[in-house]
Amino acid sequence: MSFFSLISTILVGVLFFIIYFGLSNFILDFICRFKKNSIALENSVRAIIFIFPAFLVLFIFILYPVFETVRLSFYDKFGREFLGWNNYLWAINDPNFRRSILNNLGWLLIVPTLSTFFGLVIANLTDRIWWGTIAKSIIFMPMAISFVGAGVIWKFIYDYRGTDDHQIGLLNAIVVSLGMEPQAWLTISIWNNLFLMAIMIWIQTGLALVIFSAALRGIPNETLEAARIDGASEFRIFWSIIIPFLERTILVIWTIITILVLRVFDIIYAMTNGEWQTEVLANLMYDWMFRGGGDSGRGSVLACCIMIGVIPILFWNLYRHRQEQKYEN
Amino acid sequence: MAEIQINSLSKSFGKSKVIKDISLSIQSRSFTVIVGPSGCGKSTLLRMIAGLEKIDTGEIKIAGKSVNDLPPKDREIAMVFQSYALYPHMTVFNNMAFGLKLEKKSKSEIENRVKEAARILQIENLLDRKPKQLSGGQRQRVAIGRAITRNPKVFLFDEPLSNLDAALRVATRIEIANLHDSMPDATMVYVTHDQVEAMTLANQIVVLSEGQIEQIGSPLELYEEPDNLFVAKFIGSPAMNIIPIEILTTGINPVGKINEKIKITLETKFSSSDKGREFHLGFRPENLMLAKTDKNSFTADVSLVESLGEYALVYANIKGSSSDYNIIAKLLGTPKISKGDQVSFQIQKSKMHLFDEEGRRYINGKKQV
Repeated sequence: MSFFSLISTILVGVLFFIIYFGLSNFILDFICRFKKNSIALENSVRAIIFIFPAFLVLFIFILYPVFETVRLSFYDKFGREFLGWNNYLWAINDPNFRRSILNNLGWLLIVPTLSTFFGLVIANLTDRIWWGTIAKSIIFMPMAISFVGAGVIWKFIYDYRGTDDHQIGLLNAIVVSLGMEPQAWLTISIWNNLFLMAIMIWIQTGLALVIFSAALRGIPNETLEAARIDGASEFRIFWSIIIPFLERTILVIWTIITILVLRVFDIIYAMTNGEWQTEVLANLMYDWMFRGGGDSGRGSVLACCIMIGVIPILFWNLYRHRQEQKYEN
Repeated sequence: MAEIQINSLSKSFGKSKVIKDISLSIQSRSFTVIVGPSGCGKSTLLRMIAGLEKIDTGEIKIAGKSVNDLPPKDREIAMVFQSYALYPHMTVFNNMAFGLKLEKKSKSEIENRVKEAARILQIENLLDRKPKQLSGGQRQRVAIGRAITRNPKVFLFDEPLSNLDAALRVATRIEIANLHDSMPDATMVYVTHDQVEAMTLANQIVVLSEGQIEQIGSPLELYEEPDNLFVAKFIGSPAMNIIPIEILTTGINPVGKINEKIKITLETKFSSSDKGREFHLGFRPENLMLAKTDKNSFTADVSLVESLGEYALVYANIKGSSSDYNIIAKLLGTPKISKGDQVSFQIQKSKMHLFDEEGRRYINGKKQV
């Protein structure tokens, strides 16, 4: 697309919306001139006029695909023939699916917990040293790298060459220099899941760290000093004062990372592609949906599973949000 | 018994010296108020006693023991903060019990001590609430309660009333005074910028300015015999009137000149060399009266009258030789004076304060040391 046609597309789009908002409001004003005492109606109609474009976009790109995915999960690989629950039965009996569920549970338990924990501890510790800001910047840096990019970096760390070859992987280089046998880290079943999780933790700790650092600033100094005078040790202050103070922040970060982890795909795709029992739901879904001709039915079943996993967290978040609002009022 | 001894204490933050070589002794069982304008270092001094700020040079002793290297918890002190500094996620009971729990006291003892403190402060019905559910006054009581339960030797108060509204401030001030009476063994150190709190609570006031002690004394000493211009202006509301005066004659009934028309007979003994020197004449607003005779009186132009029923504040101008001087008179009742009047005033006998060029009190031909 040439530069000129790009500009003209943008102009047409902007013009269209100017006309849409201008005209619809003008018509509404015109109608309301004849109908007195209808301010409430006028207000709600005007609200709908403004919300409508956003809602349309939301519907086309989010709501419709959700319903379509649910529909497709009951059809065959071409989306033509209705199969009932057959796709779901297939999934339950599929060993790869079971493995993915187990792995995902492991990811859900370990990654958010450790990221939050490291973020909290590092945020607290870096506040006490003069080079804390530098340390924070370094720890935050992985956030700027895409998951695939992170995968490439970590491939060098876990890299394995045959026993006769030079080990260029950082981890194996260390192991060999200590006089031990080099390992093909990513093929060691169960442990390799932890090695993959380490990448996610490495990235997400930065996020937790930055948010916690900001939240720590919100704790009034006098409260900490009062605890110090009361005789609390630094560890006790951290445990009894700081953590309760950050409770909301901890939950927010934990939720963000949990939802992110539920959809974990890029790291697995770049590192092992689900081999050696590292399969997760998102990668399995990608496999079925787009590889080997594609099976939209089974792929959709897996997509639905991920969605079902997110729903409880979303509802719980909404519930908490509402509770907090109730409390504040 | 816990007297506090401070020996040539200094502290700087970066390049700015906040505390400049302060020495001070706070008697056991006294109520000492450290007062001064904001930024004078009074809070820093208190925080150094508490152990929240490091000491650069000098020494602090509590009950005869040097505490320079002791952490706050080992100094047997308790502190009440301006912002209350309560633990927001704990109930009032747990807020007050936190220190005791850390001391590993038995459950029954903790309960007794917290209940006792709650009884003294009349917050027994609030023990199950969280700080969020309390009003400002109640929060400050909990903060004081937290200090009481630990039964410290020294209480430190850092502007505890500043966040309260005017009415509550007066009520809480009285409660703190009562608290001191009910805990006669405790030494209390109280920091404030409000000279009314200082005057009403203290039995010893330390006036601080720019990191140095201006004067130490009982409230009335400071009021009646301020050592220098700073204390004279700082203590008392409205502030003391200060106008320059030139000594014309020394000897018996010396005379000073404010301007060509106004000459005032002073009671201070001057040495003959004082003739022609410029001094500062200070007199409190309530020591000004409407003149009954011409003798020793001066006229001033009234610029504003604030009538409060009980008394009236009269703001007036005296035409000086080089510039005008503003003075305030506090007259009892409702004097019949209005803006624009020319009024003749007299200064009450023996209520004049004289300060030399450097602002130090001047008595009987000698500089105050």
